Amino acid sequence: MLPFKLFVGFLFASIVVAIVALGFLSVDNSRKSNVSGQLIQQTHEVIGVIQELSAFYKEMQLESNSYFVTGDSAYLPHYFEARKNSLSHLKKLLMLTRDNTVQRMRADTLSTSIKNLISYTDSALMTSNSPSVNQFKFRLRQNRAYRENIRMTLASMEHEEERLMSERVEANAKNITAFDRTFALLLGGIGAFLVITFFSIRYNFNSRVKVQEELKAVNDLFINLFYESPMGLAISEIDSGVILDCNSAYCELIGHKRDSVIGRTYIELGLLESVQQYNSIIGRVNEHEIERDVEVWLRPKGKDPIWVSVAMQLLDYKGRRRALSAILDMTAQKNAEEDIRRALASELELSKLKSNFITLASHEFRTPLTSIMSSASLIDKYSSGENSDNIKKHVTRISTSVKSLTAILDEFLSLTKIEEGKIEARPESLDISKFLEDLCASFRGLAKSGQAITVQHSGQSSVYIDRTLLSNILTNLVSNAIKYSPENSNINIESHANHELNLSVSDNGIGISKEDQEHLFERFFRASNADIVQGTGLGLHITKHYIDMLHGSIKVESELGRGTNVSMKFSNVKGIPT
Amino acid sequence: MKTALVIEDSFEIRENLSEILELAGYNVIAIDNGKQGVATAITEKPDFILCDILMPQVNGYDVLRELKNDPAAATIPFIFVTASAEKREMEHALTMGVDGYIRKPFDDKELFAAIDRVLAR
Repeated sequence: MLPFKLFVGFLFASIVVAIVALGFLSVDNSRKSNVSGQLIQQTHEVIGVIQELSAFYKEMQLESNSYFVTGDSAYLPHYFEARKNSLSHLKKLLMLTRDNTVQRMRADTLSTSIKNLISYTDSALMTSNSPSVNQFKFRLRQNRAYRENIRMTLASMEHEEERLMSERVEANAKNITAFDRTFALLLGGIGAFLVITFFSIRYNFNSRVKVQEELKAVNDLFINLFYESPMGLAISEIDSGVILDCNSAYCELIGHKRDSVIGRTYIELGLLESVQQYNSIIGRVNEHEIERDVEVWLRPKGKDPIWVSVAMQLLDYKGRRRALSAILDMTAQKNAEEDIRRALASELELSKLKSNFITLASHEFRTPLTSIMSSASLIDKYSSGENSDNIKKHVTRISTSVKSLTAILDEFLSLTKIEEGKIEARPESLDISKFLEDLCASFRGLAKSGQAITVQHSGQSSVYIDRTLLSNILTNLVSNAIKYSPENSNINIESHANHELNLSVSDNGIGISKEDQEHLFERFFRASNADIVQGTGLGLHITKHYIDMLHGSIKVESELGRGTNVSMKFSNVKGIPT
Repeated sequence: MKTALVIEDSFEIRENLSEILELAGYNVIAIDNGKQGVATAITEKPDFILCDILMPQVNGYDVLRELKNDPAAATIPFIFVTASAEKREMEHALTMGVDGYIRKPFDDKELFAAIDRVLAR
């Protein structure tokens, strides 16, 4: 957009140009009018001379003819007087028409005719004082001829001058009209420029007033923000640290009155521990223009030191670079942080105690359980006689209970380890087919009577996965299948490996309702129809953790009374976590 | 008759384990601490050793380390019988050269399976 000053300059320049043009036009018009007036005056003069010459030459004729007719010499002085005037006017006419070729030629002709007439008349006056009738008639004829010639010449000259007069008057009138039009145009232009200039200046003035009002509003806002801010704000010189201005929150924070703050440095006020501390902060501000979240141990007057968070930024203030500091009391936050830290430490300590307790409990429970288990085994070996069946039944019950209790201990221990993050996946190359066969063999000893556990594998045999975690997952799933399936039923483990490892464990057990399926992996959840078997409700919860650690997925499809199929999917690429 | 050395500080377990092994036809030497266990292993040269890990003064790891350092006893099959469920303990034991690992509580099946495995090597 054209700058306003340039625009106004252009307008004024246009006005000046118009005025100068008006001046030139006026001068030119004056000059033309002058010339035109002179020409008209000259034409007037020529016409006057012609008319006077015509009168004098007629008088000259009259006096000479009177003399010829009467012979009275009293007419002669009048004749000579008229003759003299005629010649002087003729001379004047010749001079006046010297610039007009046609009129000059006519004037020359007139001059010749008049001079011939005078010459003829003069000679007649001197040669014959009493002319005969014939001479007189001849003279009259001759005079008439000259006179006619002179009259016609004068008439044509006068006509020509009148034509010139008319032409010049008309030209003068046109010139005046053109001048008037141009003058009016220029005056109109000047007027228009003046109006535009006026409104432009007015618009600019209004805009400036508006901007000033906005600036004032912004300034008022800044002043309010600065002085009324609940955050301590101060403006200081960069190098010396002399405080130039500050708000009441700042004064309250540092325990000084405003008058005692202005003009003094942070060090002089005893707020900071050392000049080096200030230089360190201001150095970073100088480098980055702004520095945030600088935590400083501030020492207010008459109060205990407090933790404050300082944000400092460079800005232009009264024409120079200054540092604006925003200071926030962090004492409450620090105290809260300390409380949280203590609570966290306490929580960690409790968690550690819990973990240690579970580990210790697990260990300490196992020792008496081993005694119970081994004693039961010995009782079983020593049983004989009529009560041997009952003894064996109770030994089996003891053994089963010990195993159940051990399983519970194992689950609690596993969950604790998972929650502590002590278990991590360590993938390795694994012959999945052999792994599943071995696993299946170990389960066959635990299967119920007539339960068949089968393994089917397809695809590549080598997979890349954490052996222990996969073993724990399958142990849990197959154990569940055994526990919740009837005797003489089938449990199938299927696997297929390519770029993915797909595993499934299916049974013909009691199944899981749709409602229960939604909560299967929740901690301590037990399906509504699972009461027939003891359990903690942690097995599938732990299994889901293990699957997550392997970045795998699990899907459960089940129908009450028909069985359950649990399928899992893991990526099988070395280098990508399974 | 194969000789088994049982090193276990728990009286009940030591007695029961010895009795189960004897009923299975093994000659059993039962010791209640690690230090004496090492000495007995070196002098008696049993066919295999069943040793607890967590014992006062000289623990199971110390026993294994001492025996592995003794040329005469280094080759005796060594089985840890432990109440620890820590996976890292099992891994540590394997790195030290243990031949078998039984977690308490165990039944006869698990016990004899582990013994058969180490004796078959």
